Amino acid sequence: MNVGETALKSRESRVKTLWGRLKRHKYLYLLMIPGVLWYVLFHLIPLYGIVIGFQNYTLASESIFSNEWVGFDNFRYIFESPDFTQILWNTVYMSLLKMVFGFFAPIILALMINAVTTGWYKKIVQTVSYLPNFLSWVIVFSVVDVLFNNYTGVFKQIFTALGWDYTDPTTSESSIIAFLVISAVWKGVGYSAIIYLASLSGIDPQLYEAAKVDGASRWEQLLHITVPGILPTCAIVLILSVGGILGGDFEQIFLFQGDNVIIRDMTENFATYSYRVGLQGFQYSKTTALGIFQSVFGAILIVVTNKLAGKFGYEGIW
Amino acid sequence: MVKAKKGYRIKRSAGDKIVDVVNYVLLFLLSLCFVLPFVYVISISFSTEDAIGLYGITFVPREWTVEAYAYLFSEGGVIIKAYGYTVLITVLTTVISLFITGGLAYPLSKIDLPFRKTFMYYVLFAMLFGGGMIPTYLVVTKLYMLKNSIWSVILTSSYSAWNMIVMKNFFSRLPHDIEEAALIDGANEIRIFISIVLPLSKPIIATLSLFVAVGQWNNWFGPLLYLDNRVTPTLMLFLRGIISSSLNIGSQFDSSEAPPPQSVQMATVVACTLPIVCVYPFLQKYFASGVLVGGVKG
Repeated sequence: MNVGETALKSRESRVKTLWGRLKRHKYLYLLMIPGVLWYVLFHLIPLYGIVIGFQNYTLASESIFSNEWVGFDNFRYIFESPDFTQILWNTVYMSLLKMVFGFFAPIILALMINAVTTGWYKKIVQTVSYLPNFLSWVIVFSVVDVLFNNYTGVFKQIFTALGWDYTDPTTSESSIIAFLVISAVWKGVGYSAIIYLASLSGIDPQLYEAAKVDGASRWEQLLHITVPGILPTCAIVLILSVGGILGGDFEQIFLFQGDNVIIRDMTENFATYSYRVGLQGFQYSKTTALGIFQSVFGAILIVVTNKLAGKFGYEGIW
Repeated sequence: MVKAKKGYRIKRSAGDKIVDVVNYVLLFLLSLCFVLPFVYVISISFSTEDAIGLYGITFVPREWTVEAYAYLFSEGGVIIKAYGYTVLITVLTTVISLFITGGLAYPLSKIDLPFRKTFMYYVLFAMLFGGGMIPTYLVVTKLYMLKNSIWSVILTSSYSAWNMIVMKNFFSRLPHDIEEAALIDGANEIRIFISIVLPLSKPIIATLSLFVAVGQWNNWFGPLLYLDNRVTPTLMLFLRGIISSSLNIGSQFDSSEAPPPQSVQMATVVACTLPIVCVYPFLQKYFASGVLVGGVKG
């Protein structure tokens, strides 16, 4: 028995050659087949499809991949188009606004929830604030419409009852940007607060005990224990959010744009532009070139910000 | 000395109480911001249009009716078809996603698997660079001929590298002793995966399934790209259609006999949201862990 076991072990440890290890794990490779297939079909082949950006693909083209090569003509066209600076600005501007407000709001909410000592109250507030995150933008948009529309909207009724003028903020050029930011914060604030709540619960309670004994006020405790305690988490979240600055949201923006051309020009981002001009306007090659630009710079941003976040203790998902 | 300190303490706790009360009140008002919109939605969906016209929108309908729901779910209603497609797409996506994700995550959690690192670098690369919207759309519709097929929506969203890595990290934290014992007993790795590893992984499977299912239920962009509202409607396509038709051209319903459009719209919102609300307690149980696997240290 002992001898057999030793023999087995030495056989196992001898399997060090590559071929041996490959053979040993053949069943594991079998398990990977569906995943590898997915990567080939839905990553590699579409990735190869970026050749469209360097070719002239039209509706009449018979093959996706073999059309007339035009070099960087599509890129030149896109960069010289006034649309480009507009959507680049729109995307970055909207991301920055969402980043700033979407950064502070969850921290404040988490601090407020953390200060609640009544268990059931805390739970209810948390439960209620997370919910919108799990609803689609289409649902949120429908709810917003019923609240804010110019005809039967709830706010219209309230304003009329008070004798004030009312304009629908979702269709007015002066307030649409603020409304997009507010609705995004409303939808995500509770869920984004979770990470800070976890970080807050990681702070050693003894620190607070000690501070109380020393006579520190609640404000002083917040300033000198709580805030330093969650600062690394805040830094990481902020840095990582910079990485997504070129990735504008499609669903929210496209829904709220509706048919208003002025609002569309103000909010059009890479995703909505690619959909409208690329898919609906059949400008496949030009919007592919735009997509390549977005992906390359987006990836550089993500890599840089991840590295930077690593300096603050972010371990990444690896 | 002791007295002075005591006095100071009492004074401080009085200040604390004010802060606490303000905090509680603010959180209550904030909670109302999240809840009230949905109270209105439900109220409108059960209200007669006459009551809405007369009294405006109220917390509780002045005149109750289930007409909107009856109309929505009447025989041959589009929403029934949309429900069918959405459920089908959601279930298939969840099952296929577990199959693909688990099949990659388990082997990649084995440190001595040859080419594991190479493949993981590729996975990272794929998270950063993809074909993008247009090439993916063209490949799926022109090359795979999946336009107007629910498989386009299912397959394109049935895998996420993020979920795979979360699952891989879970697998690599499982104790390896049992697996090794089974290996020595002659079980092959697929059997070990199915009969030992999977039963131990129920929490991560439940978490990821719920997230994939909710994500797909809410998916509007996918169906918008690949599906035709008239042929294969999903709930989100249907809802968007019913809302925007009223935004653009007023009512699409015949005003003489059709139920009130606004209540029908809100009944649709309720019908689309209800399944999410039903799984919400389970989601809530799991999602804290789901968010935190990102590895941020507190």
